[in-house]
Amino acid sequence: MRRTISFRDFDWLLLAVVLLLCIISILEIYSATLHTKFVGFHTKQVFWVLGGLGAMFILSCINYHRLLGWIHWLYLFCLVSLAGVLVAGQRVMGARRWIRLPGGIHFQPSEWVKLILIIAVARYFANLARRELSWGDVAKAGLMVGIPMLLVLKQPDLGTSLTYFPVLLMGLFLGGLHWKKALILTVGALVLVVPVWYKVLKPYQKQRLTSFLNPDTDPRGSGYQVKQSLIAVGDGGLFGRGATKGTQTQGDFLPIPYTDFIFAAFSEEHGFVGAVFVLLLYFFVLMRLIQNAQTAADLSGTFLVMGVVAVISFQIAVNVGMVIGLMPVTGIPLPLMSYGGSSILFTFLALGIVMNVRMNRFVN
Amino acid sequence: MKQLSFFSRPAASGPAAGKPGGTKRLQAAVAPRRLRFLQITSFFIFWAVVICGRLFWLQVVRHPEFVARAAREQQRTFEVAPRRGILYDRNLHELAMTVLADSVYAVPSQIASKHDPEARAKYLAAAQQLANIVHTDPEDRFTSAHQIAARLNASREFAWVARKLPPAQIARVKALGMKGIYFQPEFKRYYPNQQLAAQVLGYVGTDDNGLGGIESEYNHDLRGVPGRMLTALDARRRVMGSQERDPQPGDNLVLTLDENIQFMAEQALDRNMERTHALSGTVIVQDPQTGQILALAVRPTFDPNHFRHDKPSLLRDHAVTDVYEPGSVFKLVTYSAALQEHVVTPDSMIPTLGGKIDVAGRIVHDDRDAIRYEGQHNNVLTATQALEQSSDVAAVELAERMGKDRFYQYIRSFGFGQRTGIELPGETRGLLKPPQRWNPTTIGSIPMGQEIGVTPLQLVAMVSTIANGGVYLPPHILLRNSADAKGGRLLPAAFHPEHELADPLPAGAHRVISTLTAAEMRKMMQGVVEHGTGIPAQLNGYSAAGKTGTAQKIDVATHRYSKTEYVASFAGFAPVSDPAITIAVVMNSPAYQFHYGTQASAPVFRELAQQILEYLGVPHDEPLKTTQEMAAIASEPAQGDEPEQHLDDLNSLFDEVNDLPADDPLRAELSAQQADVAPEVNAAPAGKPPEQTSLSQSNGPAVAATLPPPSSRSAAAPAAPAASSSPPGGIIVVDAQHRVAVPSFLGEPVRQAVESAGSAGLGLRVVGSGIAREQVPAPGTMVPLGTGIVVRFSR
Repeated sequence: MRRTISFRDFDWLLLAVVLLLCIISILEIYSATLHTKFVGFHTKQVFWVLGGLGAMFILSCINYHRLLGWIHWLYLFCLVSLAGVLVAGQRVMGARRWIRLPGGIHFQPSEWVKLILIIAVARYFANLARRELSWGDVAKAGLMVGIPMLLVLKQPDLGTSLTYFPVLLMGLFLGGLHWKKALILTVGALVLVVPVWYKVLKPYQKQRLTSFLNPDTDPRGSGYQVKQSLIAVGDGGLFGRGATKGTQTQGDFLPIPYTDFIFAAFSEEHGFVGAVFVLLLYFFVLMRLIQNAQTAADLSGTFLVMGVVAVISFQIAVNVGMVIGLMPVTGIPLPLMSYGGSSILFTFLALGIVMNVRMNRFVN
Repeated sequence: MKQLSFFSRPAASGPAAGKPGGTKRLQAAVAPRRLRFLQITSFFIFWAVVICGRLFWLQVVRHPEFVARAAREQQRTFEVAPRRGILYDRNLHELAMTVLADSVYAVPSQIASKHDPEARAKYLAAAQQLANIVHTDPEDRFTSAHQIAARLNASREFAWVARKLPPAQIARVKALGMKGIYFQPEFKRYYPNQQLAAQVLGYVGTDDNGLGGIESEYNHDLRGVPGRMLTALDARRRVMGSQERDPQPGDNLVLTLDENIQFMAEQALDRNMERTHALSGTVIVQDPQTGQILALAVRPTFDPNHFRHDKPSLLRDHAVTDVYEPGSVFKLVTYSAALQEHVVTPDSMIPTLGGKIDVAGRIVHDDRDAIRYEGQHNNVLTATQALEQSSDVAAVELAERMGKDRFYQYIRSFGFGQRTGIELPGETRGLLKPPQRWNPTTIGSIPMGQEIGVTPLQLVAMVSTIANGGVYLPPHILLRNSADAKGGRLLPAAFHPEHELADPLPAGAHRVISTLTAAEMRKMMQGVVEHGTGIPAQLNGYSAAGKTGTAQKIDVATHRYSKTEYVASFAGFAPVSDPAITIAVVMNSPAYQFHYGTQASAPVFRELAQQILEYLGVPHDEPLKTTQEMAAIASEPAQGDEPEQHLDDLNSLFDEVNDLPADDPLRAELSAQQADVAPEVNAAPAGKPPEQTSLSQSNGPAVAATLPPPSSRSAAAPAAPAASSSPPGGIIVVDAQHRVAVPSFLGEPVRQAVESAGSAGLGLRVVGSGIAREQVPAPGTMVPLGTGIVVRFSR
């Protein structure tokens, strides 16, 4: 009865678009690091992408129901690793985010926590789908996401901890939260924001969150980054200055043009046309993921894929929003384009789960 | 674990998801969820539209604005230094000019890239290599290897290695052929005559700011206006320079100084500094007909090309920033005023009352041995004779005849107690009390030049007033204003002694005494040089007139007059009938035997005036003397004017400092010295007066311990003689008048000389180091206790 899965059902089109984005990313990293000490980062990115592809294929072979079954242990592992980071993590620039694994590999546990939370939320809401969500259900889901969020916030890593939130949001939304409850929750969240703003957030975090509104008030700090990003984007014009010819990117004016601000670097060198093209590719990826979610064999599959959609779309929206001055500077990378192993690995692992869901869509 | 309970239900029902029945229910549940998918998709589309709209706004609509902002970021404006104006002497010879000198800078990223783990070591090695060449002065901290390395580490793009180097060092740096080292021509101030007129010119710091003298006073005019250079960086960070605004060079200024006269003045001063071992000396040469300063020499001095090595005290222009009590020279003011007020004529008799006069209970004495009474008129001198012999009693008598208010008017009118307004920084107005604040005894002090502080410049201006026929001309050192000097309209101002005063009189000039009074004064002053205290000032082929002065220095520590430190001065002019130059010579603390103005300063006048008059081509007005005759004059025992006896309490004069303007250099100077001195005074052994200590202790070293250090404060020496019978190191002879015979220090090392001087009750001024070769006064001379003996040491 159970048909074996086949790579014929693999979403090759999605993979092709994803790989296209990766190639654009590698070329832009090459251009942005050409005259800096980070020259050669694009070859490292190639290896990360290849590694990510491998991980994606491996994960796509594991039936997602088995992942759902392991969730107790995965969730426990996630909490332990986050606690471990807080106790024994590598301190870099005042924040403990990294764990050194044997063999000299550094990894950010907050990245795999994203994946585990997607699975946990998918399983939780898939099983609640038959009835209206009660306040208890909402509270439990909130705790489930909230505890890792607080642990990551404590590192402190505001950007990553914020990416957990859309997972919960997506779960509640698709889980059928009544709009009245949603309204109450929104009001409650707004009330909660006040003490969080004054008690929890550190001054530099607050500054980062507000300086995008008026970059000139903080021309040395994150305001400087926003200002430089806007200049780079605006300097690009309709068709851009051409690869390796962006003066702001090459002239060391644009900060970190190969990670957080890679979209600004790309926009300068390839202009409005290039930027819209990349955004279309992302839009296609998201639409394709939503299609896969709708064609999933069961609710848990849907929830899994939509969790991935939530995280990736959130990251794209926040990163691009930051680059074009619509969002605060939060240090959230652009999925598939920003340089960095953790981010690439997460995205491909998430895609691996999606592929598995897709390959299982006819398994009944 | 509470968290795990989230999954309790799903764990049980998990497998149910695969059951067909469950699937059916779920399909039903999915249906309303379509709406939610639609909402999510619309939300994404909304976001995409917003982002694309924003991109369009930034990249298309506001594109030109951002291009401009980007260009502005890539451009750097640099200031291009203007060429500093030239300082000329009156004959348009350069006294200070601006030349190009290469500076060396490095681009650190080309020496070693920043993420090279060995970058620091590489920078240090490069810095060491460069410092070997450029670090020539151990006191210069800018070019030490450590500093260069620190600058290399600090910047990626630019670091100075050394500024404004001489061509030889530049050649050596170029020969190194190091990567990332570049050369930049910069303007450097250059003083072709080195020390010549250093205090007048001042000097310029590395940042092109004048820091003293004319360079500081006229910094704004000399600097010019910096230009701007716009530099753009392209995508590969190549620098494309483009000049936007040319710098405007600074104004050239012409000084009234004559390079040659200045040179003569410095030479004469140098020779006489050597001869008299004075601490410092000032010579001012002025044209009495115009008030222009022809030379202003101050010793010790410095080379403004290498100002870094010099102490700030050397940079002071003593001619305008320091005051001293002029002593007898000031009698010129008393006599001029008295003649003008008709309280005396040059030939009227002044009773000198047996050589003493009672002023409000204080007796002013003349040194009876010093005054040569001629003829049968015992105790009576003509006014001319009184001036020639420098009688204190006569001067006080004349002042009393005038009364203090009338006398004060003349003092002010001659320019004392106010700034002359010369174009030099830091001028003081001197110390002069208004008459309502005079003590009853002040009228017995000021007429002979006490209780008044003047600058050498005020002195020369006063003498010029007499020389030119009675008109006070404010001294100037800038020949014409900068507006004239602009545009190449620099005309050589060859010196032509003008025999008539300018008409109308220049600003600030005013008549002080009548032409007749001035002529009478000139004749009386000629008498001083011909047969009075000023004989050593006689010239060959020119008539000369002047007045000597010897004043005891004020000890700032005790507010009393020093017994051993003097300021010897001479002020005069030549030729008498039609003066071409006025010269003031002030020698500070010459060695004891030269402490009179007659011996220390008048010879400077003779040497200098002779040279200058001949240089200027002034016709002789007297027959030339033979060499023998000149030698006779030189050997004639000129009677020196005795330093006046002083009221010992100077507190009232020091109080005068409080009335000075806040920016007067004197104010800070005196308060600093007093603060400096105070702890030493307190350091005296408590409970025991110093005299007692020296009397009760009979061994030499103990006596030495109570004596003051061999410094200018030897006035603080104990009044009682040391009852030392035979201290180690030699026999000390003490005579009845508390005088001691100077022992011989010759052949002794410094340390031993200091000890034996101390045990003899004498101060010691050490010059040089090594073994004592010379001493002044000579061994065996009887000197008052506490006298400072100058001993020259050499190896």
